[in-house]
Amino acid sequence: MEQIVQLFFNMAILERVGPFLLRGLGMTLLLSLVIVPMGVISGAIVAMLYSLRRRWLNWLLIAYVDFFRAFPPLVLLLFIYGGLPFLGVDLPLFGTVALAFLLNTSSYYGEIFRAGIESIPRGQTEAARSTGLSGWQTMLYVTLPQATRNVLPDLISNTLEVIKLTTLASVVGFSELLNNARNAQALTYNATPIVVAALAYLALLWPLVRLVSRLEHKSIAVR
Amino acid sequence: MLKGIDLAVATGELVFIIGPSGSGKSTLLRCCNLLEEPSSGQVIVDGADIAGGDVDLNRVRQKIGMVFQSFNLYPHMDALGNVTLALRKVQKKTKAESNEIGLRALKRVGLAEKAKSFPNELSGGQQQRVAIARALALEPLVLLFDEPTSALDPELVGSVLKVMRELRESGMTMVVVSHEMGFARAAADRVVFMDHGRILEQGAPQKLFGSPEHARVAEFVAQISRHD
Amino acid sequence: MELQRLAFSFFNADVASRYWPQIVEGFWLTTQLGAAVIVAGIVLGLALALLRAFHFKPANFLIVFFADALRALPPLVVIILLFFALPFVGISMSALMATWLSLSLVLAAFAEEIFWAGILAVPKGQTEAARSTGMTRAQTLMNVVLPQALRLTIPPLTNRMISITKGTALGSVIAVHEIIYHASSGASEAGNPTPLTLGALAYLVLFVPVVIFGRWVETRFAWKR
Repeated sequence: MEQIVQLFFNMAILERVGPFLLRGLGMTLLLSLVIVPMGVISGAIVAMLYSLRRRWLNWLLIAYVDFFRAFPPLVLLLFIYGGLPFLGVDLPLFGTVALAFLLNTSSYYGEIFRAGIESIPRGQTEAARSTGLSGWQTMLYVTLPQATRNVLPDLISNTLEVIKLTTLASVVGFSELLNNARNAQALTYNATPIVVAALAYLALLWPLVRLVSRLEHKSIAVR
Repeated sequence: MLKGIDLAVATGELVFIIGPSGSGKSTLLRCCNLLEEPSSGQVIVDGADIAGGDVDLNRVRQKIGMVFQSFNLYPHMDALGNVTLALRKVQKKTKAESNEIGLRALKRVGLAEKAKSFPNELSGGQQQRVAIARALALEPLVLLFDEPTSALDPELVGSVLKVMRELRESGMTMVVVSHEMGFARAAADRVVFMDHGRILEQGAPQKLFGSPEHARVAEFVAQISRHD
Repeated sequence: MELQRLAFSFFNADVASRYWPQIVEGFWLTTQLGAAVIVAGIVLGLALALLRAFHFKPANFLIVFFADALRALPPLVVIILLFFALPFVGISMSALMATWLSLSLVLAAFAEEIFWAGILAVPKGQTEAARSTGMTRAQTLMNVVLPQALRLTIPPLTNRMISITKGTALGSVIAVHEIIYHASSGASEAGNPTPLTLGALAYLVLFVPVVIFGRWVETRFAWKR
C-alpha cells in the first residue's frame, strides 16, 4: 500500500511538477477552445452547402467528409507535420496541430449538422418561403436553429471527442497535458504525473460524459 | 391506490369492470397476474395465493392470459411466431407441436390465413385478435382484458368483440376492463363499478344499468348512455 | 517546377519501393489489431449491458463507473497508463497487448452504453406481454427485448466501432509496428515524406470501404420501426 502511494500518488513529486502539469492543462484547454468553435462553424457551413442540393457539390462534400472521417487523426497529424515543410510551408507547431484537428473535426461536425438539417420536415421550409423569407433567411432563422436543437447530444458528444483528441498533439511534442505528464514521468522515474494527469482528464470530462449519456437516452427513445 | 378490494370471480363468469379514468380499474386487473403488486392482501388463483411469494409466478402466469390495450405484439416476429413463442420457450414444446397449437388458436380468432403476416401488415383489429390468440394458446383458466378495444378505430371494434363473445359462449372465464357498455349489457354476468380505488357497487348488468343503488353509478351510467 | 518538386517529395518511386514492404506488413498488423479490438470490445460491451439488465445493484454501480471512466479518458492516456504506469506495480505487458487491451476496454464502455440505451428504448409493453405469458426475465430479454434493441443500436455502434479502430494508430506511440509507425520512421530515415504518403494510402484503402459501409448501414437501419 505504502509503495503504491509512493509510486502513484507521491505528494512531493506532485508539488514539484504541479505547475508544469497545470500549464499543460492550460494548453489543452486553449487548443480545445480554438478547435471547437472553428469546427462547429465549418461543419455548419458544409451542411448548409449540402442543402443546396447541387449534385456535383454534394458529391464533393461527401467525398471530403468521408475522406477525413476515414483518416485516423494521428495519421493526418503526422502527415501534415512531416509533409508540410516539403511544400515549403513553415507553420508554428500550434498551427500544424490546429490545422490537422480542424480538418478532422469539421468533417464530423459537418455530418452531424447534415443529418440534423435533413431531419427537419419539408413543411417548415415551405411555410417560411411562403411568407416571403429567402432561402438563406429560412436556413438561418428556421431550419438551422431547429436542426441544432435536434442534434445537440451529438454536438456535445463530438465536442467531448475533440477535447480527448488534443492528447494526440503530445506525439509531435506540443506541450499539452499528456505531453507534460509524460516528460515529468521520465524525469522523475515516477508514475504520479501520469496518474494525476489521468485524474485531471476524468475531472474535466466526466461531467460532459454524464450530460451526453442523459441526452442520448432521450434521443434514442424518441426514434 | 386501491382500497379494500374484495372481488371473487367464478369459473365461466364474464365480469365487466367499469368506472371513470383513474378509478383503479386497470390497476386491479393487473394485480390479477401480478403485473402490479398489491401492498397488502391476497390474490388467489385456482386455490393458491400468488401474491404470497413462495409461488412460481411464471408457472402461474401460463394459466392467466392477458390482452393489452396497445396489443403489444412482438414486431420482429410474424403472427404465428408471436402466438407460439411462449409455447416453445416456457412450455418447452417442439416446433411442430407449437405450430399446430398456434394455428388452432389463430383459427379460433379467425386469422389462420394471416399466420405468416407481420404485425405491421395487419390492421389494429387483426393485431388485437392475434394478441388474443397468443393468450389462448397457453390454454389459460382465465382471460384478462385491459381496455382491449380502446385503441381501435370504431369499425374494427366489432371484430374483436365478436371473438370475445365467442370465447364467452365457449365457457371461458373472463375479466374485462372496458368502456363498451353495449357489450357489457349483452354479455356480462356481472358488472363491477369502481371509483377512487374502491368497488362502489356490483351486480347483474340489468340491475347496475337499470336501477343502481349508488348515485355516482347512476350518474356515470347516464353519462355513458348519452353516447351509446 | 513546383509540381515536379511535389512529386519528388511525396511520390518518390525510389523511396516508395524501399519502404513499401514494411507498410504492407504494418497493414496486416493494423487490420488484425482492429478486428481483435472490435470482437473483444463488442462482446464485453454486450455482456455488461445484459448484466445490467438483471439489476444487481453492486454490479450496476461498477458497470456505470467503468463505462463513464473509459468514455471520459482519452484513449491515448489509457494506453500510456497501461504501458507505463502499471509496470511500477509489477504488471507489465507488450506494447501490442497494451494497445489491444486499452482500445477494447474503451470500445466496450461505449458499446455497453449504446446497447443499454437500446434495451431501455424497447417499449415496456413488450416486456409485460412476454412476462404475462409466463416467460422468465432471461427469456424475455433474449427473445423479445434484445432483438428489438439491437436494431436500434446498429447505426451508433458502427460509427463508434470505426472511430475506435482508427485508434490502432495510437499504438505507434509505444512502438507497435503498425502502419504509421513504419511510415513515420521510414520518412525520417529517408528524409523524404513518401513513406508517409504510402502510409496514408494504406489507411485510406483500409478505412474508406469501412466508412462507406457504415454509411450504408446507417441509411438501411434508419427507419426500421
